[in-house]
Amino acid sequence: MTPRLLLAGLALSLAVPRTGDAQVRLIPVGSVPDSATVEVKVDFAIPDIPAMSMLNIDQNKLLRPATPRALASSFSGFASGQAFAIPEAFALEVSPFLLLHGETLTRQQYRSKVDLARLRLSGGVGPVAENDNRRGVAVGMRYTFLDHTDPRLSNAYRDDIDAVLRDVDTAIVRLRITSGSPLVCPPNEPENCVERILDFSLIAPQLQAARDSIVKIHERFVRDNWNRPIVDIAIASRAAGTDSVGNDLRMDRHTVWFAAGVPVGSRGQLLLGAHGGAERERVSRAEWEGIVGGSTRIYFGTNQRKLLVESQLTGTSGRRPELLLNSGVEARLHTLAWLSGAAGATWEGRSRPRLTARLFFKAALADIVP
Amino acid sequence: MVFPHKFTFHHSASGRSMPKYTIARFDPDAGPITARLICGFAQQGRYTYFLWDTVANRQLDTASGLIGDDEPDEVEVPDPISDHHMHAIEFLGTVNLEPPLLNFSVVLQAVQGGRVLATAPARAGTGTPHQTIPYDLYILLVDSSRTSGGAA
Repeated sequence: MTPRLLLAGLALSLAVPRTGDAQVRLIPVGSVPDSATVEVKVDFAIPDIPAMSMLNIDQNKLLRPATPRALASSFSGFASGQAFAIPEAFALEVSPFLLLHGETLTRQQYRSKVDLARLRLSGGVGPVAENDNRRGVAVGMRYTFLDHTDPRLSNAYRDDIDAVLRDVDTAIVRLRITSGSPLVCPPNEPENCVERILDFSLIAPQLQAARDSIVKIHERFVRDNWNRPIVDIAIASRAAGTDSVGNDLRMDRHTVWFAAGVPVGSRGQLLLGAHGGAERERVSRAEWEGIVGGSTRIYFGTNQRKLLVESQLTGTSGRRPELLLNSGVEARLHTLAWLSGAAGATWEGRSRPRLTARLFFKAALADIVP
Repeated sequence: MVFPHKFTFHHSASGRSMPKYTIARFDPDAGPITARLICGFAQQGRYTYFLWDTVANRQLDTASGLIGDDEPDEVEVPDPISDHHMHAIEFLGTVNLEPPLLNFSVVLQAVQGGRVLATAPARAGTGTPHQTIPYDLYILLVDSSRTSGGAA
């Protein structure tokens, strides 16, 4: 990268006015192939843990028990002597079906009952917002109606993994055959056998190589299937207290999210999203404020060139509806350089549109500077 | 790299230490014995089955398969059943932990007439996704008419 090229890129990024910048979030449904940096302004993300999105809880306070034993163990941490104290902030997420059956759930059973496994329930206790110490309680539910991006449902993915595991298995079987029977026993003395335990560290390089290959298979699957059909819905509700202890809890927020993605050709995706809800500005107030919104995005591209067009219409009670249109393109100029641009407009009611335009030049200097 | 613990320790009511390996006491007249592998958390893997004569240290039977296909992960021990006193069934292989799961569970059962005679489990939490976990599970078959007492 020459200094002249860098200066030109800097000049380009400064030359274009930046107005009305909205938040920038990467694409949540599916995941765009690597280096997707085209700006998106519409948030299709359905919160992974709906209850947690209603409270200000740190990710490390999240419990995700996979077995009833782990669930019991999670709650045993709350006990202090004879007392049972709920911590100041924690969140819990479980799939009831996986919690009850996970330990003995075979791949075949998972494939035949995947609809049950896709229901996830969440709950949490914690501060209602970052700068608001009032304590609240939230519950949520997320259900994935359709998910063709799940590798556990793909026969091709299974066969690719199997080809890798086959090599490791050959090494393990060789170890066992060399070692002989796992138990060597005197006649009629079942209690006095000698065990011949395999030393798996002898095949550590094969296991590491298998792991590396499987990571690549997984990455390739994600890359090739990012735009497969997916339909998600989530709901969550919150009750907030009037103080940091959580006294006088009252419902103050309900939200529902919906998102669906379908492929457009082999390299594109159409996303449809909707969200709605009701919220009280203060727990003590009786009035609820409603919000409803719908959004679409069409995305098309490869790692070399990308294009997106998106729109969002949002209505909030007592305010004028807001319409957002946005588009973006990205082109790879060189192995280490990208040019991307975005243009959009926002209308609030019948006001004049607020225009947004940005142009970026990006150089992957990190790749060449040690 | 994660190598799971294979066995749990057993203690009898008298406190006497019992063998760490699993023993299945079968009835020679109760029909065929099936060795069944259950790989939980919907994980994928492979298995190789061996039947060993533990006294002669000799391999008697073998088969292999894929955990996660549509075929049941089980093998019927060949007839006659009464010949399998002091024989060991073994399943060994690998399990691939698919993200985001961090736990795995592989269990070997010896089943006769629908009754589970014995279970040898291998369970662990790995702490990291994308692991290739090796396992080795075995159960010693003992003719209940030829011995008495001991672990079951």
